[in-house]
Amino acid sequence: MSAATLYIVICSARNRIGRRLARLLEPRYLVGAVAGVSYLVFILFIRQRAYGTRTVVVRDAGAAAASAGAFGLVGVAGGSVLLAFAAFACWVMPFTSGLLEFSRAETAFLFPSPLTRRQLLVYRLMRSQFAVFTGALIMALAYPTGTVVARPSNRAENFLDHYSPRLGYDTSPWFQTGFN
Amino acid sequence: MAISVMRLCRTYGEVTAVQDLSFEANPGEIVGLIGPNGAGKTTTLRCLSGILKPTSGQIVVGGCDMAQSPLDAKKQLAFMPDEPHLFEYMTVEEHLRLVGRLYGVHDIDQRAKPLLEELELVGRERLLPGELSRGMRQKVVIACGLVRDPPVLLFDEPLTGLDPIGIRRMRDTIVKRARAGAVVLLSSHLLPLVQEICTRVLIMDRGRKMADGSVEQLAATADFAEAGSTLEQIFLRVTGHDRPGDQQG
Repeated sequence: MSAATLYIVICSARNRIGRRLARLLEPRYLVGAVAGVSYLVFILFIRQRAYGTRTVVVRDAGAAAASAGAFGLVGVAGGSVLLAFAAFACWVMPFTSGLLEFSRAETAFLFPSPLTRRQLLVYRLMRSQFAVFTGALIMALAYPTGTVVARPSNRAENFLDHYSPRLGYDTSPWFQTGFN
Repeated sequence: MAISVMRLCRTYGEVTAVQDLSFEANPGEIVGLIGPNGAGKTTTLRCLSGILKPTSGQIVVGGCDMAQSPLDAKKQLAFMPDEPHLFEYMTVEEHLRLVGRLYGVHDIDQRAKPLLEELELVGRERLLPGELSRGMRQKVVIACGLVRDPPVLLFDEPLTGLDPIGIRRMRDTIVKRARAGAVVLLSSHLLPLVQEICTRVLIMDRGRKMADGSVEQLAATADFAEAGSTLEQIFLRVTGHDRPGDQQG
């Protein structure tokens, strides 16, 4: 990504965050923000604590629990295979990826400027992946999986599960067009 | 030759927007591109700016072929579109700095200061597009085009949304750039303004060039002489709308 396109990403993110924070001075936005943060706290801490307690109880329940755990592992493995297949399919048939859709401002400013098509594609890719990355990270954090010790690795797995198919989906036209 | 267009064609599927268009423009010229809606003016300007790839034909800007060396050609021109599309979360001054980064202009802040005064944007440098009127956003787009002083300026309806004072200032701004040696290609429906500032007029209709020359030259040609001497009269004659039935309503 060129310095100019990186400048767009940085300025837009900074101003967006600044404006959102400034809006908190208005009561209705402040109430909404408090509700949102409360919900996140509930999801991230209280539910996960409850999950941890339940895990301990189930561990003591013997063979039945072990069998359920094995079934769960198979489910996760099957899901991963399906996700991998979906990602591969998107690489092969990238019909509806939004990667090459530029906004009107991007068209007006970047298309007439002396940027190569490869630079434009890299910019668009990075722009789209930033949003996907954030979304996948939130999903991974929000899932209450495993004990406190196991959580970091589980979250990393969840994150990769959410992020990798989308990455494959978005980059497939990039390679298919050969940057042209 | 600042701009040379040879047999430009551009189609959208079955529709031919521009057909076999050829013309040249020299430094110091202000060429008015006029025509009814759908004549192909915007498509022509978008092809010239490198936004659209021509279906066929050749575009040369400042000696650089747009197809062979697009980056060199693009460095020499600024395209100011009819709709002021700006980045939603970038301020006025950030847009100008972005242009500096895109084109490698390092003294953009020094260049921007007099331009912001000229376009009456002083005091609005830190505002976002959503906090500006349509006319102000149009001025920001024009400022972004003019700030690096390119030798080729492409304006697509530059006066849309501007108030009368803004129109007058913009007219002066365009004339000033042309006198300084830039070539200006200007698309507009404001025929009196085109007649006033353009050194040459190119009339298009249904993708084709119908007439090319100064207003005086066009008025003197046998085909248009009886239509009248104003650009509006010539335009109506060229596009076949000067019959009595077309003047009603």
